Amino acid sequence: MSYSNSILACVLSLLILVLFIVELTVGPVPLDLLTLINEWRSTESGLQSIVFYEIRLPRALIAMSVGAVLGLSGATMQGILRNPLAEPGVMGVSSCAALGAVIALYFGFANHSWWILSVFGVGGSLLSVVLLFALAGRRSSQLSLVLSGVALSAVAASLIAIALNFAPNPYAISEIVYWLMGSFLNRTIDEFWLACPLFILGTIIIFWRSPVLSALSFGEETAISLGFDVHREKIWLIIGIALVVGAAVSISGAIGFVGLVVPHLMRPLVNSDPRKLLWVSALAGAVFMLLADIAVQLISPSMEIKIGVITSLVGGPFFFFLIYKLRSVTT
Amino acid sequence: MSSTSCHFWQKRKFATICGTMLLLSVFASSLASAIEKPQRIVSLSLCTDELVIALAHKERIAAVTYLAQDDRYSRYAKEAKPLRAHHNQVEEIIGFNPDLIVGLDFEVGKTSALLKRLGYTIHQFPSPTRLVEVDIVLKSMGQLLREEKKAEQLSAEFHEKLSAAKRAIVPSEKARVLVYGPNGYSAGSLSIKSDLLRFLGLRPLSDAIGQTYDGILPIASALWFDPEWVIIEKENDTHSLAHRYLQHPALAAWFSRPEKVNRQILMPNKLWLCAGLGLGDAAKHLASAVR
Repeated sequence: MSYSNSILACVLSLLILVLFIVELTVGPVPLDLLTLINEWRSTESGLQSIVFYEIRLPRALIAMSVGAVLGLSGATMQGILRNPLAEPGVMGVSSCAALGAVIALYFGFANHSWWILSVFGVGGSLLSVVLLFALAGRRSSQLSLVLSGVALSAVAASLIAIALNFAPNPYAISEIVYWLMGSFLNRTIDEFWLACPLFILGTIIIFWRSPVLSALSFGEETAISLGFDVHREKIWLIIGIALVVGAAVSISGAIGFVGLVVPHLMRPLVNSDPRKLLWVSALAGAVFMLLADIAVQLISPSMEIKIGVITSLVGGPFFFFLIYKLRSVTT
Repeated sequence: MSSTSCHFWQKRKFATICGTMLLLSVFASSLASAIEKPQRIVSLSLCTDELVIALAHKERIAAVTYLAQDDRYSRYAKEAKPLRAHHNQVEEIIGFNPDLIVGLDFEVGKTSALLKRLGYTIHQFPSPTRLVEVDIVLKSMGQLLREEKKAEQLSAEFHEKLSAAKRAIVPSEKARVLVYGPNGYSAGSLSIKSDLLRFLGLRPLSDAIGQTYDGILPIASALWFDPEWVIIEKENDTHSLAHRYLQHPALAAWFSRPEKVNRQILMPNKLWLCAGLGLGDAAKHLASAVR
């Protein structure tokens, strides 16, 4: 790792640490460090320790890890597809994962066992990537790929609406916003532990198979001439993306644009190296998500807005900017 | 024939005519009231469904809402099962050819607007926010359905249940009580649930924290205000995020503290989902739990 990359890693890690601590201090109940320590020492759990361990800590851990994996998956998708507009939200991967989770939760499958919700989420995201490739074709243009993603996203969103409409629970339909915009409100530590193995496994797969991304940046033919079985490598990377996005969406809903904005902001800092971009995007994704979640809690503490509102407010204009840039390049 | 016997026969004739007229008038009035009684009642809200089912004979009920047949939300699910149900669609409702349509004023919305536009009269009832208003709504519905006596009888039973529950709760138990439902929805001071708690000699937490209306109270805030009792509104369905919220580990940790053990009251939501007669059973349930 070069000197500049080390500095970048240190700065991002420090930012994560600071924002993580800030996130732990934000909330309706003021936490007192001394009381918290005293409660931690005693065997009996007090209010401060309950709020800290059961509410704040899971939320901060989930926000950080979901941000990291969304940033990572965005950078990976952009590398595989060689498309700057690719990211799980825009490509419909998040929506399909949400559809899987919705079916598992509202039709009672998730009550049978603790892992079913995640499996359905991962299944949804895996299916979406397969469909995306089938729709756009292997040698797809940037435009057809994005259009396929938009179509897939729209279909998944409407299927979520249909599923929630037919769900045997009157609360279901009001929860559509959660699945389409995401939230970290009232997440539990159990949900974090549930997603954690999938986050780790998916991340390992992505980094293990990341060498192909560098080769792919010179074109698919070059990658093949360098000895890569591009098709097989892509499948591995897709499995990695599906695992992390599926797990993330299962515990926090579909949060858009993180995987789009973060890799773009980080790319100039790593000289567009696709492999370096992966870990930088993961770190920056965590920073971005922690910032967004702190903002959500500060803007409207009593009635929290969904986190996807913040990420879309940042990501939407950024998406327009990218389209404008692409248009000027192609014309 | 003597004048005395003539007088006797005249008197007897008069009495017979009067008796016949009286009988006829009684028959006519009962016939009239039977004719006046609405015979094809349609209810547009779950809460009016319950009143209609409680007061009127099933033959007179044309349709109730589909929620009335759902055991999770309706106290009269069993009685509603054989009845026809609608989903608040105007076409469905006018298909029943109703001669009386009833509903709660805030629930019926666009359905009510379109029905009125089509010339139907909808008798809308306010949702009670005080226990005394339950009686008013019950008796008004009784008059409308021509079931005044039944309404009086139900009112008496309702008050008896409330009084029995009040007597059962120890007066010194002026505990602060939080009413907590799916999504962390908690009852405000102006809700009928808070009024019921006050009637029973308990203190709604909403009074202490200045929460006027029903609204979302995050778990951290709910625990911060340290309620002595928490009424968890229970439904036999956890297939939603709203219901999962009530299984949050923070709540479980709170109730595992020695001073909070057995301080959780599971309240079947259907007992007080409607501000109606179910409140009597809710009071009974609370009294047995707090005691």
